[in-house]
Amino acid sequence: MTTPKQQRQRILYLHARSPNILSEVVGAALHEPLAGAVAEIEPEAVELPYASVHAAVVDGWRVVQFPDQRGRFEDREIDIIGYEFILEKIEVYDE
Amino acid sequence: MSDALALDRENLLSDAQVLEFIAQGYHLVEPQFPPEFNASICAQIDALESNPGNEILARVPMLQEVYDHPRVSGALASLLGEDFQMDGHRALHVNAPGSRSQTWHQDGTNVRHHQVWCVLAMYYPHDVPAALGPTIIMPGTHFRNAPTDQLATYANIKGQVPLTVNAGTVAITHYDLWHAATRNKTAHKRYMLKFLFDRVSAPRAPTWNHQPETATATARTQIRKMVGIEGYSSDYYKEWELRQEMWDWLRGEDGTVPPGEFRNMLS
Repeated sequence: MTTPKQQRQRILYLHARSPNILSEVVGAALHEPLAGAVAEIEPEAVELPYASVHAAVVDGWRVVQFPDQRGRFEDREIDIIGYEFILEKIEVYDE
Repeated sequence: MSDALALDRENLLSDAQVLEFIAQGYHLVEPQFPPEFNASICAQIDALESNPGNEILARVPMLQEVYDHPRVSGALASLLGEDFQMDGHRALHVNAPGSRSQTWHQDGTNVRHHQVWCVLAMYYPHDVPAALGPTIIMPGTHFRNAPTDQLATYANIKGQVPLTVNAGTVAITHYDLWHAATRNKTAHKRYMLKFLFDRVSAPRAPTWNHQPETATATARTQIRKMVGIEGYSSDYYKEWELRQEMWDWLRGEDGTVPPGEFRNMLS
């Protein structure tokens, strides 16, 4: 008996240096649509999957959420790192 | 400066080391305990029936020797003043085989400041290779006033530093530095003793090996040093300002720039 193939959503958080999609990616978390999958923090040297959001789009990812450019502005304090883009890629899984 | 501190001057930090702590948010001390000392502490922890929480020092009194070591106390006095105190909160962290990464977090609540009132002093009684699930820290993030919930979507960040350390290392971090435990891929437990140390009084003068004739030039270089994610952004220039404020404050000077005023950090 064969298991039917399923379309599933891969989710990728990319934290870019600025809201510009060409700016450098400084953080990433890839969530695979598999039960129990966790985006681990890797203590060994790790390459971020893309250098920019644009590079991810070129590779077939779709941006589903853009960072809010009108966020709170504080010209003295700093808070989170980068600007968060959320991307998806729909792929067929045969589990 | 007290006689006790003066006598122990060789174990105090230098200007460059204090400035490095200001920029990075951490400082590693390697006291060079004999292997049998670290092994004895591991054995005592192995023998515990349960995690004693704040009572860990009472259950493993040898831990006091870790924090009394002159290199450790010298670093703590440099950053917290000679009258620093051990906090009542202590923790034995056990990263068990098969664990998953924690999410990035800052300890405590988000009432942040850009001073040094509390540090974590994390002692590792055995070697910590990458596979054993080291603590990972993000340099420079002690200046970031970020609720832990907002850190939940990060995984790997450019410039993150795993504390893959030798047995006996004490990692001193600013209380606000982002950190997390990582996945333990081995069949062995990874131990870490987290003790907190508090500043008792605001600084009135440097309590480290301060060299006024060279400190200004050293500070000028270190305050502009790129750390963490590196690269230019508006955050980078703000960090210069926050580092300068912390440096001034630790030297007993009020360097706070009132809102609406501007300090030209490019001059």
